[in-house]
Amino acid sequence: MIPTLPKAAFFRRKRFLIAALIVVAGIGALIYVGVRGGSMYYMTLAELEAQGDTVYGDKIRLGATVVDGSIQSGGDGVTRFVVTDGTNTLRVSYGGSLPDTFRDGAGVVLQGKLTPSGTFEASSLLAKCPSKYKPGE
Amino acid sequence: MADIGYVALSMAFVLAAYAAVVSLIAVRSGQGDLWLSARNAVWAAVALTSVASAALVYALATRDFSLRYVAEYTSRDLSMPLTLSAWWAGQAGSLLLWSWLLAVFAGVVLIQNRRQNKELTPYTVAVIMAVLAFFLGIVIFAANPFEKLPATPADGLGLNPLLQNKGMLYHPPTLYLGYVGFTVPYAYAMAALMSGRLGNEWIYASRRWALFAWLFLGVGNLLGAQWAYTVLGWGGFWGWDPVENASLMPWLTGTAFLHSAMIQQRRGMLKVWNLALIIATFSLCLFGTAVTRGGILSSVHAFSTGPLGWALVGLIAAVLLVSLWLLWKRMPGLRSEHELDSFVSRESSFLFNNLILVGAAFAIFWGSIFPLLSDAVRGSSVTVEPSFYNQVTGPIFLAMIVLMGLCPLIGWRKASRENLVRNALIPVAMALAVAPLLYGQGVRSVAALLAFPSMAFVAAAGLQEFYRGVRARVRGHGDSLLWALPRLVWFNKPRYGGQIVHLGIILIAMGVASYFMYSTDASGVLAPGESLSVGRYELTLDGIEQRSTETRDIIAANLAVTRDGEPDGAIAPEKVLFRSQRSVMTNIGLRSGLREDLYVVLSSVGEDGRASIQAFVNPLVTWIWIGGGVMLAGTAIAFWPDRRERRVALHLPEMEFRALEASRA
Repeated sequence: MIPTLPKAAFFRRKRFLIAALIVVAGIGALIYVGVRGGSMYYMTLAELEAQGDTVYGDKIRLGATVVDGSIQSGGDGVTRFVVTDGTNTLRVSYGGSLPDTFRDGAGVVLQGKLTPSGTFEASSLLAKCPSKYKPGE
Repeated sequence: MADIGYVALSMAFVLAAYAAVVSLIAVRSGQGDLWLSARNAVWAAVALTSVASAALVYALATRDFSLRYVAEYTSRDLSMPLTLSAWWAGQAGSLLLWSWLLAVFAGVVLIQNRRQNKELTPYTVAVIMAVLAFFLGIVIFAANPFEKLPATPADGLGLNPLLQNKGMLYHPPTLYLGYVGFTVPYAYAMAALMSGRLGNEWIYASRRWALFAWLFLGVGNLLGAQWAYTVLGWGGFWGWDPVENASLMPWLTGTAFLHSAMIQQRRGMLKVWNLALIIATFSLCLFGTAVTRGGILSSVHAFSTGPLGWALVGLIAAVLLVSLWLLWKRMPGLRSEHELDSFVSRESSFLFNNLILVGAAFAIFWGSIFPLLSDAVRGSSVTVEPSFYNQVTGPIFLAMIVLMGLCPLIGWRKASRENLVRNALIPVAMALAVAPLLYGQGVRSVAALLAFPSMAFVAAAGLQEFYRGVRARVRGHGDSLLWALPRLVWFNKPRYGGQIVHLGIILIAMGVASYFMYSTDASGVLAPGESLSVGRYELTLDGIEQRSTETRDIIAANLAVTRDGEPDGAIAPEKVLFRSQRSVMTNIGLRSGLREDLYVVLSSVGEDGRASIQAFVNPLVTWIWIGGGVMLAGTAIAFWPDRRERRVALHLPEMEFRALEASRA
């Protein structure tokens, strides 16, 4: 280390503070941009129903329960089923691979879009991972 | 047995509360006999929680289905290790495990401090016992593992098939060791604030605890990732789920603490920041417990809902309120002993590393609680996609990696330009050599061209440290080449242990980055004889095979593999039906290699006998697990006792200590 003349503490601090501010602002900007690009509405079925056709094409995340006996797997790899919150129902189509916990009566979290035909096109499907097994009735 | 367990828990609850109050009175009034009484209460709590834990384990082992907990989480056909692991499968058992670990940690703190930290220890013990009393209170009043069923069923409901895996045996307890472990550094921090002994004592006393908790949190996360990868069958290991985020956040702030604590030790700076960091880390551990066990955020693995989550939120609020109030009150005594000497110094690079780590934790926190925030502000719940976390944390982690390489190159206090240039020469050259190499291999993404050379930079900087150290030992001490490296590490364990951890982190970063940037997948519905190609592999369905065991029906798809056109064995992903529970589980076909993993999932088999197959090629994923092992080894080295600590214990500056050592030798 080569000794140099000490600068004023104030100046050192200022330089550091400016750099720190840049870092903080950078992280803030990243979060802001990220939220704008990557957020989606988390809705219940009732809320979705109330929105009507204003949400066609918007990214939506939906939590609901699979209606018993409604699961149909087509030969084209697309699974069709109906979800409910007890009062409202909605038809869903999903083309990806199904998690093991997906079955009649399972709680699912869907991500996707509502199409004008009234079918919810899910691009991702998560089934609740229960920490314990409750037998079907 | 069950009654014994419940009685033991109730007594432990009373004694924990007693120990908390009496330790405080003892240290305030200076009455040694009260402190003895408090210590005895701690030991009694250790014994009683151990008895309660033994009672639960006994009930599980003997399959005592008269207990609701045993009946709900186990069954007769469950193997014994998994039956015992049901201790942490449910809420009541997990909280008992939490409490027991915490009580044992309090005992260890007492043993460690028989002869030192006389002023700090009673406060530390009081804080730990207060937290213990809270958890035991929940166990007794809201989540009693010894609750009896009105009638004893013939068999239990059984463990969720997804949990019937060896990951269940070690992932949850590892994570709990981390979560619970951070209570101790927090308790020391509070002890410092309450006692007014605001120097470095609490930092020294809690360093090893922080390291211990940090290690288990990190390893627990990796084990969870590996479990998800090999069992859940969606091709990935990290989904930015709230539960995963919740265990990553305290690890990030804990990492920041381990680094900034070094600055306080060396330079007497950042005292307020260190206290704030450990308060944040402990609160995030509680938050993690609240998310996992209390279900306060919607998550695929939020295991339960109910009042527990809000009780924990209340505890977090109380912890923050009391801690920050104490911190505020002690502010005047927490002045830095030194100013930042220079903008380009080890201290300031550590500060930036801290800022970035905390920033990463904040970004993840923001994303996790965004649904709650937006619901409160705008009335509609908005969640963020996993892509949010990738976009936001990608650049932050990249900056972190670059700083990780820079830190060791920059000297303490004030680095001269020449020194820095000399230190950075080889690492920068390495980075500059890797970039065109990647470009030549056809890598065009800017992110990859920044990330991988940065990792090469850090790896080169770390290896250079070892090389220079070895060279100095060979020249200075006349060590043989063979012995120079182990001796180098042995004589400065914290420093070189830390460097080894850095190398492990780089391996993990390499695996994670290549997975997120270069994982490829393909899916298709195959009739026998048809093929699916993914990456350089081609999978051809030979046939579907069905077999049954006592409890399950198994369907396997036998696939022939060719790699680069050459036949390369076979792979057989399976679907398993648990007959008694009518539930299905996937057994993936996985071929791991150092270069890439071939990962094949059988999604379903149609009635026409066609198999729907999903296949992934994930590059370098194995290096994540290898990096985890390296990280574990490095932390173990840093954890090992070191001569420097003796110097610190003797309260001697480095020069005097060296003189003392020399006079003894």
